[in-house]
Amino acid sequence: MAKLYTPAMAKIEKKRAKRKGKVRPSTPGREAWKRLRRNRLAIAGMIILIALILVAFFADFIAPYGIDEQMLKERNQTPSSKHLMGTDNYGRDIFSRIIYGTRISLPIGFICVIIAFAFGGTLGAIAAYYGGKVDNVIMRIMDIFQSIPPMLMAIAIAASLGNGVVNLVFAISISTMPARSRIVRAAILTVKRNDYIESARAIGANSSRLLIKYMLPNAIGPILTSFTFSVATAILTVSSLSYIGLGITAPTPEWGSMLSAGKELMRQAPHVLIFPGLMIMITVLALNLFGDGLRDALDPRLK
Amino acid sequence: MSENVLEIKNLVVHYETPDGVAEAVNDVSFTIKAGETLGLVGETGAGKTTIALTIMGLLPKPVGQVIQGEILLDGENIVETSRNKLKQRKNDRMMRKLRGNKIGMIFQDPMSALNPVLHVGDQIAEVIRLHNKVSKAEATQKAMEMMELVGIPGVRYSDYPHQFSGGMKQRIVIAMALACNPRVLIADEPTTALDVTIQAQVLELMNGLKSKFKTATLMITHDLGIVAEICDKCAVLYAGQLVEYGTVEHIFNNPQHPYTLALFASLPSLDKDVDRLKSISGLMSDPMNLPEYCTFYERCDAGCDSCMELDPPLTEIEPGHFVKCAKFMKKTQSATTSKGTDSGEARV
Amino acid sequence: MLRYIIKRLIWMIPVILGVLCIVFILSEITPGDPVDQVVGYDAPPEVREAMREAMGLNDPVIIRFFRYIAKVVTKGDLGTSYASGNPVLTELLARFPNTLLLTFASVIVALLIAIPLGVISAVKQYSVIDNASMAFALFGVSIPQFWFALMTLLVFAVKLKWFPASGIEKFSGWVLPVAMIGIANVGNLARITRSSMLEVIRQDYIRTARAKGQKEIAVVVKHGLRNALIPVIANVGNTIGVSLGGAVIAESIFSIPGVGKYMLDAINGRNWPSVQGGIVILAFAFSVTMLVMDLLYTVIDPRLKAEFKAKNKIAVKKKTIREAA
Repeated sequence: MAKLYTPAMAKIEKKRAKRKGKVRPSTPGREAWKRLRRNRLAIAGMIILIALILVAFFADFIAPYGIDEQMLKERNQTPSSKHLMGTDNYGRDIFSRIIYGTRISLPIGFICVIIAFAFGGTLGAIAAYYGGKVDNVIMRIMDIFQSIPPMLMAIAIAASLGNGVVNLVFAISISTMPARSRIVRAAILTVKRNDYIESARAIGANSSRLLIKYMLPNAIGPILTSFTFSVATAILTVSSLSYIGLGITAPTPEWGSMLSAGKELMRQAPHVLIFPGLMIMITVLALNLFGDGLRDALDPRLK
Repeated sequence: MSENVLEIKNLVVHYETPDGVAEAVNDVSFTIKAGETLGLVGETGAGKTTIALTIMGLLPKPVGQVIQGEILLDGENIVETSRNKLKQRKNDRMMRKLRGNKIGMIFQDPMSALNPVLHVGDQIAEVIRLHNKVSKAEATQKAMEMMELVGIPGVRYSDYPHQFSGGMKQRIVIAMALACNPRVLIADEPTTALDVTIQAQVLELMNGLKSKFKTATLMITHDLGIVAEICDKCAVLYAGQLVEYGTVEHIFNNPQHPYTLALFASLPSLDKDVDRLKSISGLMSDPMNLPEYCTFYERCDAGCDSCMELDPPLTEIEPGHFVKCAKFMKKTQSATTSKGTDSGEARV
Repeated sequence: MLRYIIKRLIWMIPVILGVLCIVFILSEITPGDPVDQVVGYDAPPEVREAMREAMGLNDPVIIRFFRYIAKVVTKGDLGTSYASGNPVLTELLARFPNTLLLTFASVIVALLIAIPLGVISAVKQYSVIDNASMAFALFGVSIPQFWFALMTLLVFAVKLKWFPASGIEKFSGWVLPVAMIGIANVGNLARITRSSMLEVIRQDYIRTARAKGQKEIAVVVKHGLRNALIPVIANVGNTIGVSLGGAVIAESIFSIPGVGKYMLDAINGRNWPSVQGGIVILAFAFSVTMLVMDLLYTVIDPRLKAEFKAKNKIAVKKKTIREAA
């Protein structure tokens, strides 16, 4: 019988022909990157993040005015060509303060999550690796910690310790630690349970090879993904705590505390409230987009 | 001679994926009469399940598309080859009335074929209520009868799937498929996931029920033993094409296609002492990229130059026995009698 | 089953003790002298010393710790508010219903929106509806809740005057706070529902249901949804936890007299017994919720019930489900 050609087939074959290029050996990482690259939203998120990091580095050159530069004659101005995002009640340029704010929110978000993963992750890894009683004791303690909702825990710690960057980081790290320990524990347990670990052991892979070649690449996926989402959550928490006056306080240009200072001006100068929140949202959105892409790229089965 | 209950004519099914078009089923035709069982044999990816899903009207939409052909159920066509949405929707509505009612299906893996959160009895009663105007109590009654019929006490009506073993789950799936006394029963590798001892029981049950209900059965399997045991006819599928088709006697006593011969050669035999079983070398052609010539050529021990030139048609070599191989193209009449168990013996 | 409920109830005891322990440690690391708050900074030393003795602050830490635990456990005594002089528990209980209402209303509204959204998105994967609702969900989880509240205040209370800017005297006062907490929940739960539903509709038993000739809508709802809801239910507990945190902030933005506002006011006034009491009562409420959620699982998923019967380690299984979600 002659081959039947449908229009769909012709179209697809044309596409296929175009895609053919040189073949490179594929590694899991390269495969993931290939999938990630194809995800336009994830790439958009990544570009926004890189841009924000660059802004943080070069804030001094980008910001048209100083952090605390007060122009008392130009208070509560709406956005204009001179002040892109207007000015606040002290006559400070909001655009400049938002630029400097990238130096606060992003690093704090990352540091909180790194600390939470360092401590929680180690505990989770120990629990998963040894299992049995050790696992039980560690996870029960985490259960107790988790019986206080994270936000509440962060509020309690931040309130007890008082304001300041270090206390804030401590509060958020401790309050999110149990959740992070669970993620690492689950990731390692999943890998541990897989047949390919058994088969690798069966063909004589030693434990360090087992860990590096088989366990780590397979456990790192969910951990990396959750890391990205955690940074997003941490940034939201930092700004929320600062907003209720428990984190970084004025005059530091943290976005949440800028909103906190601006809430009194809701009726007179609402523009003061719009831009800092928008920046938080864009940052968190970028992290979430990138995280989504990362998850799909690292675990194609989920798609 | 009774009428054909199920008749498949020149069926062509494609999967249109972003990576290419897979020609899953290529010009397949066969018929099954009431009470008859056709064994559809082939390796993984040959298109067996696609044929089953096409008959059920359950091809994954919009990837799976019937390109041409007819499936006649009691003489009436039930496939829609048009891409017109309205026509497809109309066909969907019609198929919904047939599924579970006129056509029942038994799936490969009983472990996952039952809904874990519903009582098994309710899952049987569901299909009864869907196609018969009966009260809830009557459906329950009928479901219990069906359970008894497949050898499961009716009192287990309210148990959940996880409380049954694999073989018992498959019995429930069978009860579900036969609950509305369908004209056609499709069994997609019904015993593959079961233990060998359970396999025999399930097959025996199916065989008994089939003769009781006079159901036309399509038995999909890769196990020639099952075919020999319970089938009347046999169709060998390779790369979406029928390569040999005939009665079980034809296929088992007089296999002619090199692929069929190779299949038999790969089976252990009790009569002969063979040191090493013959395997079929190579892999099946990529359905995304089927050759223009004979699809089996690359793995064929008996291939000749003319095999490269054309795709041979299915040829009748004796009444009711069809083979798709170049060696029969010219001398249609000369039905050889060689009972080769080794493909090497197949003459060209 | 009963065994499990009892076991689960007994587990509440160490959890509550653990919470009390954490709260006590927090009160210990708090800088400043509690006496200041009671008698004032400028009180004469002998008055301060007398007060210190009366409050038992001169006793060793360990004694104070057990005294605190004993007081809470036996008498439900969470201390006395420095600000009003009333028992903290009485003040909290007066405010607790508002917090509870706010939290649960938000979660329920979110579920009512998120589940249909997630199901439709999954069934019509990659359709316009799917893309739109997932974009909405993404904004929901990315928008800072308090900022969303400020923006809705700006538009609906200040500009349009549809809803009051604060207070809950009128029913409409609840709308903006519930929306504020709900927005993040909708995003989260819709995403979970979608991915869970996507997983479920690929299962064999869905194909079985179709093979029975069941209508597509019945396949999705009767056979799909109940299975897909298991991870969603597993996440409702966490959602309530997050919402309790959100409620604290919502109460302060919208001036709702709840536990959250009470706590934040107490933090500003350095009224520590009230702060600690608030944390204890919210943690207690959260633990009870988690208990109820865990029991709810077993109703939905008969496989888990069977595992209780088999006296297996259910906790492990549930955890994996929760973590997988």
